[in-house]
Amino acid sequence: MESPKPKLGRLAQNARQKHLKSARNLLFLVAALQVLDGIILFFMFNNLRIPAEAMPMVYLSFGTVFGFALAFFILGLLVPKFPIPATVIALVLFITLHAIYAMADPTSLLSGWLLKIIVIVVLVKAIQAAVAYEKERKLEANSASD
Amino acid sequence: MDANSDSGIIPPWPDPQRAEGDSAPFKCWRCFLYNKTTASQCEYCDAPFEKIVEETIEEIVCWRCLKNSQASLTRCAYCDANLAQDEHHRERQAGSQWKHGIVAMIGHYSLALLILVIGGWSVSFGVHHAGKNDEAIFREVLPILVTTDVLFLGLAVVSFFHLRRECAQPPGNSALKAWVWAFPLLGVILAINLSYHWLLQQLFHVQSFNYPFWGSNLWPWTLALMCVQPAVAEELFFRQVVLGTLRNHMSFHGAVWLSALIFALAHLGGVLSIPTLMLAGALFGYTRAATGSLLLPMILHFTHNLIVVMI
Repeated sequence: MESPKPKLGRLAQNARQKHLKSARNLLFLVAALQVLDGIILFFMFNNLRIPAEAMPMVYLSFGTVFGFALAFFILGLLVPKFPIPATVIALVLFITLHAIYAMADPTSLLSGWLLKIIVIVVLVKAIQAAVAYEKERKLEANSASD
Repeated sequence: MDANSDSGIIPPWPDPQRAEGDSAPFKCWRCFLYNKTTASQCEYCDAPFEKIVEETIEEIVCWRCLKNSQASLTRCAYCDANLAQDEHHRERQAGSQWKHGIVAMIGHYSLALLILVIGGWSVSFGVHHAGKNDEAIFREVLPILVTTDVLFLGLAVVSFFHLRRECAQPPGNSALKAWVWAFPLLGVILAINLSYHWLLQQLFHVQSFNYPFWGSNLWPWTLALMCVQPAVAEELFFRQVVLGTLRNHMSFHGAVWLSALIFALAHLGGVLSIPTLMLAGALFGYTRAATGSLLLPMILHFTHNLIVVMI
């Protein structure tokens, strides 16, 4: 008969699952915001007269914005299966993306600062939860093999 | 198998200087003194050697060098670290390695990006670029580049000391293979890199910056800032700190490729170069793991950057 798990351990596991779930939802939200960003950029460029030779760079900018959106969406899907790599890549990608934006336009650093802080805090919590979750999974696998 | 084990005597830990069938002296597990003869007990402290064969030798991993030492010892047989402090370090690691090691590493990475962003702002807003050739621009941004590079080197050193206990040390058991294969592979990666950038120039008309090297008196600065500094600081940061921290939490290949991705993303000025930088980062990561040292990745990184700057 399977021994019942200690109540505290189960509570901690539930908290970790909650952190991972919120990280996944947040990554979907970041992906959606990136898509929105791309759409706004599209309308902004549509109103400007861009010379034909600059068009490849415009397409490249769109590609980058939507590429990041796709990356965040895929990472959100991968969080339950590969919690540590997915959350680490997501946080690194998010920080790098905003560093790139800040390099081009310093004022972008302050725009939406609250959302950026929330995303970073949730992803940090998710990494910590993922690390603890993986550790427990390894310990369980070891005790099962014994 | 050790020669002494036939007579029921084994040294308490493998002696790296001791070859098979060698009757060279070995260290006593109790007093650490080298015994000259293959006696059944230590000639200095009379510690029995047979006892060790009968009992299972309990081993603990040293908190500093991560090598196995006998649990009854007070100091590590390899690095002389105080093993009595192990509990303290284990507790510290349980709190830090499993929870904060990766987060601290990403914090250091964010600081590195901040240094690069401020450097980028200084170049963009502090230097007038119009109507100047690449050499004149390089001369003007030289103080900014030197400051950025020195700050990044400082950060790499601080990260190394802050996270040195969180970093797994690679075994380095294929050093010869790595030295043989690394340079041909670097050639392949350089060929891919140059072809990819040629393609980018054709498709998107991207103009690359030519660092002054041939026929310029600025070549020592180019060499120091574009070849030596990245080889030292980036390898210390990405291959020691980032790769070492990630290795504690994921598979070997996963850690190498993720550290390569972080290395590529850190090159904010060259977002389009991320795919080729990632390939180069993976090569440096694998050579780091295969040799167990930073020397080969540093040489490869230096060579890579030197060829890119020269071409």
